[in-house]
Amino acid sequence: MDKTQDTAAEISLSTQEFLEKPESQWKSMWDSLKKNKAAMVSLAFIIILVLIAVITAIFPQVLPHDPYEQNMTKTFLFPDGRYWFGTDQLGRDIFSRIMVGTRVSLSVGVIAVAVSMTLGVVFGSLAGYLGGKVDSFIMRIMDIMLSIPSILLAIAFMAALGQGIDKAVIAISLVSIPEYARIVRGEILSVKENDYVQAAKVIGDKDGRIIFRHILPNVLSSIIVRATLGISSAILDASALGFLGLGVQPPAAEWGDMLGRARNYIFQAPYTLIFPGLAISLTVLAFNLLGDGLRDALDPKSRQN
Amino acid sequence: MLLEIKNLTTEFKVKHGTVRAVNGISFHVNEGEILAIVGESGSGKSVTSLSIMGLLQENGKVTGGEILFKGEDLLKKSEAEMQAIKGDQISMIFQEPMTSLNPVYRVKDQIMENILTHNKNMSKKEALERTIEMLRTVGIPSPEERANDYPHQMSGGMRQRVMIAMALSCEPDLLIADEPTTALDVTIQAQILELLYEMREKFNMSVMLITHDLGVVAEAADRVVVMYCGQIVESAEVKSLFAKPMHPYTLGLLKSIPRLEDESKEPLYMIKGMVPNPLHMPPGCPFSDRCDRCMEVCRKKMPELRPVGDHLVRCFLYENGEAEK
Amino acid sequence: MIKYTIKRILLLIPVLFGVSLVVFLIMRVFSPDPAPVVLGEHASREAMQAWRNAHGLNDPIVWQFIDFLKNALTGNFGTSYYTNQPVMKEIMARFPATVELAICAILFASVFGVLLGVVSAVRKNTAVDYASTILALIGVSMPIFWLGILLIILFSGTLHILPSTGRIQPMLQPVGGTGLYLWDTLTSGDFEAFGDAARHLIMPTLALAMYSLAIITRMTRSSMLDTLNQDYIRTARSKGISSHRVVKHHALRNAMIPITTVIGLQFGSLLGGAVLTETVFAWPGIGSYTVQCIQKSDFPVVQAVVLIIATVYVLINLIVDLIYAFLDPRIKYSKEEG
Repeated sequence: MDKTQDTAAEISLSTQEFLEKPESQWKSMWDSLKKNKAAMVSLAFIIILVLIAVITAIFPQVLPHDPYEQNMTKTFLFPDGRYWFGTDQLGRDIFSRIMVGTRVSLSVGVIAVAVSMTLGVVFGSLAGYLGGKVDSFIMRIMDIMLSIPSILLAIAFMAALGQGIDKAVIAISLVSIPEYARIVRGEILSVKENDYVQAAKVIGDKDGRIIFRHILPNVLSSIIVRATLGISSAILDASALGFLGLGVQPPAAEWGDMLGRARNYIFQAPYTLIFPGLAISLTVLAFNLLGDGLRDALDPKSRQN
Repeated sequence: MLLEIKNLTTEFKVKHGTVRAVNGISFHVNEGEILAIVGESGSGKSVTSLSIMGLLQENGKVTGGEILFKGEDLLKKSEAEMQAIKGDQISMIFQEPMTSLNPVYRVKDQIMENILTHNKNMSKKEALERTIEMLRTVGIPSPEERANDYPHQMSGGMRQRVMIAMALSCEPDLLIADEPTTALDVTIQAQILELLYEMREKFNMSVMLITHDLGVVAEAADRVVVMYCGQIVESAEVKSLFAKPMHPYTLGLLKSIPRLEDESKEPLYMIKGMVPNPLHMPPGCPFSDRCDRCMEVCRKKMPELRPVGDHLVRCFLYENGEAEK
Repeated sequence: MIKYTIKRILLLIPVLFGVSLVVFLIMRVFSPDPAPVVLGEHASREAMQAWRNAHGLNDPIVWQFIDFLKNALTGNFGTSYYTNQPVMKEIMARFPATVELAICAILFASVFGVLLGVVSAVRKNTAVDYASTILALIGVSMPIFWLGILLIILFSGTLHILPSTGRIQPMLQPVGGTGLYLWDTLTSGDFEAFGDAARHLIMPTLALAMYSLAIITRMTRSSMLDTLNQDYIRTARSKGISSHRVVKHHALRNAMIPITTVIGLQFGSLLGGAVLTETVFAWPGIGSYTVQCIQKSDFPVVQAVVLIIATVYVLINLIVDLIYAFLDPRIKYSKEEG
C-alpha cells in the first residue's frame, strides 16, 4: 500500500518537474551557452550574415557595385581598393556577388531544414509513438533513403525536378528527412516510458495531446541542436549542387555556383575561387560551432570531454 | 610491518578549488593480517587505496607523506618500478565486478596477461595451467571450460571470483580489496568474504579491506581504521572496537547496523545530517555538526588523534576525561 | 554467426528492391521526357516517338519497372542513350578509378583519424588535442570541392609539384589488369608508372578523405575518452602492464567497436563525395560520369550508378556489422544463442 502511494507521489512530482522544466531549461541553456566563446562569436557572425542578407535585399544600393552588371572590359581584375575581392570572368564585382549570395545560402539552409525537420518530426513521431506496422513501414522507407548517399540522391532528384534553387531546396529537404525521423523516433521511444508520459496516459490524455504537450517539448532541445548542425550541412549540400551547375539560374549569385563557373580559370585567376569558398566555409563553421555549443549547453556531460 | 603509511595527503583539483580527500593519515598493515578501513562514501578510504596503487585520476595527486612497502617508499618509485610491483606484490580488486573486467577478452586471457606480465620467462601453456588452477582455487566450477568464457557470460559473484583469481595469480604480499562485496547479493557477499579469508590463510598475505559496512568488518578483519572526511577518527583491534567504541562517529556507525536478533520495534538508528562539503570544511572537528555530544571546543578546534586505552581516537571527549561525565 | 549473416543478407533484398523502386520513380516517372534532350528540340515528332519505342519508354510503366528489375538482376542496365553501348560496359570502364580513389581515401581517413583521435584522447587538453580539434572543425566545415580547388591552386598552380587532373600520364597507362593502377603498376613492376599514378592520387585522396578524417578523429577521441574512464581500464592498470599496452590492448580495442560503425557510415558520404572530387580533378570515375549523364538526361546510366553505389554501400555496412559483431563478443554470443 505504502509503495503504491510512493510511486503515485513520484509520478506527480516528476509531472510537476516537467511542467516547470521548459522555461528554466532554456534559461540555463542560454546561461551556459553565454560562457562558450566560440559559440557566441559564431552567433554574432550569423546575426551579421542575416543582417547582410536582409539589408542587401531591401537596399541593394549599399553594395559597392551592381552584382549582376557584366563588363567585358573589366574581367579578372585583381582585388584592389575598388573591387575588394576582384572581378569574375564576366567582369562582375565578386564582393557584391558574395554579399547577395548570403541571402541565397541562408534561406536555402533555413528553409530546407525547416521542411525536412517538420516532415522528419511528423514521420518520426508517428513511427515512435504508434510503433508496430506503422513504425516498421516508415523506418524501412527511411532506411532505403539512407542507403543512397545523400548528395547522390539529391543529384538524382535534381535531374527529375530540373535546375533551380527552389528545386535544390526540395531535393535537400527530401534527403535529410530520415535523419530527423530517426532522432525523433529514438527520443520518443525513450521518453515514452518516462513517468510523466505514463501518468498522462493514466489520466486519460489523448495520443495527439500526449505527443504535443508531453513528448515533443522534451525532444525539442535535441531537435534544435540537430537543426543548427543541419543548416550547415544543407548549406554545404546546396553549394555542392550549385558547384555541379544544378543550382541557381544565371545570373543569380550563389556561392557554390560562383565556384563552379570560375573553376575553369583556376590558374588564371585563383582569387575568384578563394572568396566564395571562404564564405561557404565560414558560414558552415559558424553553424557547426553554434550547434556544438548548443549541444554542450544542453548536455553538461558532453562538455567535459 | 608490510605496509606503513605516514602522513599521506591526497588532493584533487576540481572546478572551484582543491579538495583534500586524504588529510595526513598514518596507519600500517602487519604481515598476514586483515586491516579494515571503514567510512562513508567521501571519507577518503578509496582514495587512500588508489594512492597506494598509483591509480588516481588525472586531477588527483599525492601531495605529502610516505607509502612504505617493505620499507621502501612507493611514491619515490619510477613508473616502471611501480608496474613491476603492481599485480605482482600488491594487487587490487574493486567494487564493481560487473564492469571491472574487460568485456572483449576471455577471462583466461585477462588472468594470463597478469601472470605473463610478471613472469616473462613463463610459457603460455604454463600460464594457462596456472590460470585454471587459480580459477579452481577461487571456487569456480569446471574451470577448464569457464576459462574460455567472456565476462558477460558470468554472474557478478563469478566475476568477482575471477577478479580475485587474477589478483592472486602472482601470489601478492598485499591484496587491497576496495568494497569487494558491496555490489553483490547478501548470500554472495558472505561467500566472497569467506573466500578472501581462506585465501589469506592459503597464500599467507595481508589484506587491506575497504568497506562502509561494519558488518563485513566484524566478520573478517583483525584491526580496524575508521575514517571520516579524509582523516582517521579511530583505530583499534576489531574486538576492542566493537566492545568499546569511543568516537561518536564509530558509535553511530555501529548503532546503524541492522541486527536480526533485535526485537525492539524502534526504527534503525541513523547518523543525522550529511558529510560536509569538502570545499567548505568546518573549522573545528568535521563531525561536529552531526555529533550528538558536540561541545563548544569541537566547533573551533581540530582534535588530535591520541591513544586512549588500546584505541587511537580523535575526539575532545577523551582529552580531559569528559567522556566519563 | 553464419545464421546471423544469412539473415542480414536476406534483409538486404527488400532494401535494394526499395532503392530500385525509388530510383525508378525518380528517373522514369517524375523526370521530364528525355527524348527532346537526347535528339534535340527540333527533332520531328515521329523521330521522337520511334526513339521512345526503341527504348521501351512507351510501355506501361509497371512493365517498364518489371523489365528494369529483371534486367538489373542479370547485370543488364540497358544501353546509354548517347553511346548506345551497354550501360554496364560504360560503368565498368570507370568503376576501378572510383574504387581506387575511395579505398585510398577511406584508408587514409581511418588510419590517420584513429591515430589522431587516440593521441588527442590520451593527451587531452594539450596542444596536440587542440590542433586535432581545430583540424576536425575545418574538415567538417570546408566543402570538399573547395578544398580540392585550394589544393590545385597550391600544389599545381603555385608549387607545380603535383598534376591537377587525370589518373596517370597516357604514356604510362597500364593495359589490362584490374584497372586499379596502383595495383597493376606494382604487380607488373613498373615503378615509374606507379609513382606517377600515386602522384595523381595524392590530391583527390586528401580532398575526399578530409571530411571523413574529421568525423573519425572526433569519434575516436570521444570513444577513447569514454573507454579510458571505464573500470576495466583501472583493473588493467592495477595489473602493472605498460600504459602503452593499456591504451592499445584494452582501451582502443573497446573503442574500436563504435569507431568501426562510423567508418562504415563514412563510406557512404565518401561515395557521394566522389561525385564532387572526381568533378574537380577530372578523375575518370563513375562520379564525374554520373554528373555528365544527369546533365544530358542519360537516365539508364544514372539509374544503374545509383543502384550500384547503393548496393556497394549496403554491402559495406553489412561487412561492418559483421566486423562489429566480431569485435564485440557480447553481440556475437547473444546472436548465436538467440
